Amino acid sequence: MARMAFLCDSGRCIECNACVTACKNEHEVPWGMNRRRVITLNDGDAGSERSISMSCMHCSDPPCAAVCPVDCFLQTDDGVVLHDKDICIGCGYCFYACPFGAPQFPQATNYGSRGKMDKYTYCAGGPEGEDGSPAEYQKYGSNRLAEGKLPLCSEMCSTRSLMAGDQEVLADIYGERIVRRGYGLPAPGWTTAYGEDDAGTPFVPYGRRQS
Amino acid sequence: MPRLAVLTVLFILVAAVPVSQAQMLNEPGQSTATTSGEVQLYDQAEDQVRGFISIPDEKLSVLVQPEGREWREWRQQILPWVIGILFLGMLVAVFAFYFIRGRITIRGGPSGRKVLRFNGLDRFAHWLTAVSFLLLALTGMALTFGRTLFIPVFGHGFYSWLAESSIMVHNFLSVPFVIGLVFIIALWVKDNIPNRADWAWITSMGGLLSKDGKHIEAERFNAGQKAMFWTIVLLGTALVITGVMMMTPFAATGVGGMQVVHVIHGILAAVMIAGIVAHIYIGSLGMEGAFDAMGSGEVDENWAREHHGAWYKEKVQKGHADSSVGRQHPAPGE
Amino acid sequence: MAVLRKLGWDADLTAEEMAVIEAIGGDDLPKVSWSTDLSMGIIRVALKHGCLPYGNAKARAVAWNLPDPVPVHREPIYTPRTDLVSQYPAIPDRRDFRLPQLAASLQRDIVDRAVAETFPMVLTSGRLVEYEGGGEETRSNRWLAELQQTMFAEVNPDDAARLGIRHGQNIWVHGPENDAKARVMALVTNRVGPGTVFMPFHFSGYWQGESLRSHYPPGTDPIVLGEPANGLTTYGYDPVTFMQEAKVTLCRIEPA
Repeated sequence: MARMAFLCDSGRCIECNACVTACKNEHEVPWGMNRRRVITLNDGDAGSERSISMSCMHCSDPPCAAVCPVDCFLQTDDGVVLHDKDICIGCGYCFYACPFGAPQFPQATNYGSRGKMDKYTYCAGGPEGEDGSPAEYQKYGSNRLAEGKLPLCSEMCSTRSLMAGDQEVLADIYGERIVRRGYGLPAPGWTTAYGEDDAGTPFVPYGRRQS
Repeated sequence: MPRLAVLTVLFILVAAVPVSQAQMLNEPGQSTATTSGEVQLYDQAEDQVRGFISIPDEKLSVLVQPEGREWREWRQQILPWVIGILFLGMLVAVFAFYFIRGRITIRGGPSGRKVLRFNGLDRFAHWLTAVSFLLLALTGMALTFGRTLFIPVFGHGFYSWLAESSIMVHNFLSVPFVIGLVFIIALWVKDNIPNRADWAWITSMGGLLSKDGKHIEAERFNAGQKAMFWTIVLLGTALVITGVMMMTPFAATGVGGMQVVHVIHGILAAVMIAGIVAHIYIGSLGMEGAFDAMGSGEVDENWAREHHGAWYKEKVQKGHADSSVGRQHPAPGE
Repeated sequence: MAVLRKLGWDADLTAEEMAVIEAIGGDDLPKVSWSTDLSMGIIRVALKHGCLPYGNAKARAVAWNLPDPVPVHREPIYTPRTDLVSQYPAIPDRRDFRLPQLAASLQRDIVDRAVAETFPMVLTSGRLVEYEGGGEETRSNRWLAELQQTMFAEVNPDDAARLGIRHGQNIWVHGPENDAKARVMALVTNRVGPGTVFMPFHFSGYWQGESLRSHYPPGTDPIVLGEPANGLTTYGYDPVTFMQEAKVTLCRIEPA
């Protein structure tokens, strides 16, 4: 089974927030809950400004799932991390553990509960009995994955910077981009992850391709 | 002995936290840009990467907060051990003490004459705090251990209900606990100020270490009780503060701060629970005549003379004891 | 070729390409351009250096019936550079069909009155990606409104430090006409250079610091209200389309 992933190419992201708006509209996410958001680093500094669309990253070893006191998370075969709102008690621990601040809560205060946690679902709904049922939509939003479609945020991205799908395919696409446009606008953390060779040239793991 | 063990473990734990934090913070990111395209992102000082966002919610502007990883390790790996070791360790220590030393009896047996030790207000304050604390501890432990202990037995659905109720009870009981603490401080802080006499008590561990088991003349509260008082008051206050901060998340601090608050709450709770186990032991099974103090409020005069001699003398002089001149204690049955 | 030579890029041409260029150019080699070079070498070299081969950044146009040829630089009516006005004046006052248009005379008057001394900052207005046009519709859309919840003015950090303005603090922006003013949140950022203030134009529903939400019929008020930037923008029209001058005017900012 393919491992689903997504990638935000910060070299292309123009901070248009189309992904945010698409998600909000598709799942009728209430005010104050932000499944996806666009963060701009070095805002205003020409040349070094980068924008990234952030959401739940569907980690392979999800910290949220690890710390949940009621074990309400589950991970599908595709790698998509979902959670069961019927079991969630709104304690907020998943937010403390998540490196990306993905879990969202309807309530700011925690008098007993912060409400049911809500997060980016990869447009894959939730563990409700029937895919695409009204009950599922009410709780988790639409389930596009069950219909064979990709998440709406990536489909709506105006520059194709946010891409979702099979991680092998995404890696190929991104590798091609790097080769074509050269190493001028890498994703943040590139040299951290891959380093450079002795000549100071950043290591590109996909190799040079004949275009 | 129990108190020394508690102090030792506490010291180790307090020292371990920063050490483990430092070890786990093996920085993955470089702090300077190395190529023309790469920009410096990771703020080592803040241990998070933060950017600009148009939505007015500060939490959203954090790109990544790596300290969540350390907190996860704490919550899932370390905290259960801390609580487990302290709680179970204290239980074991207490029962070992009972089987080895046995129940501490009143020398000469009970006299049958009584002296008033704690009046109604004292006892109300104590039991209010005590019952609140017990329920707080139980619900807290249910939340900490429920996933490993209860879900396999009761399933997700039932445990979700139990956890949700535990949180409600835990939050609600903070109010009587605070009220109890306030009462306790108001009523007993005067008698709990440490003084020179306490040092003698400490060095002989309340008579446990002296050859003939001779008790030091203690006042209303001996040094061990004073230690318990200050533990409960100070740790209890800290638990209340951290607890309220967890009920109003991000009101005063960011996500890193909330994690620290949670760690403190967990450690202090573990220490308190262990201390209270010892307190409950000594106040019930461990010592003959001790429970009466909080049960009926009146203690046996022999017990009082032995364990709180200075206080007892004062009480007799004031006329509050059965043996006092002019004091008539109603005979049982009247 | 002349440009290539001036930049030293002719060294990048291969021998074969040079041969073709020489064959075409003959005596007058510099005259060979990208459009006549059959070897395509000039195009290749230009692209290699990241330049478009068909431009040297000098556009020329004389459009029939348009009042100005291209390029002509004219200082805006409200300009901080009063020293450039005599050399680059605004278009002379004119009438197009029925509509009169002041420009040069107004500009001279403004220079004479030294308006730029009391209003030293350049004010420009523009779009936000989240909102559209006047904003009533998009600011009523709850997905978009959440993304930009307040009107703001972008201020350069140097100006902010000089004027004592902190990020997120309210500031008064004063316009030079009709005692115009607006109170908005300051967004201190490097997005604008020193001396420039940017305001988005999609907001309305406030007037000079006061909210007008109560004036809306019930249920019609958009989620987000804000000061209108065009309360501060000033007289000026495009000579052909008569579009209002939204991009350049003067202002003064101070902490509120």
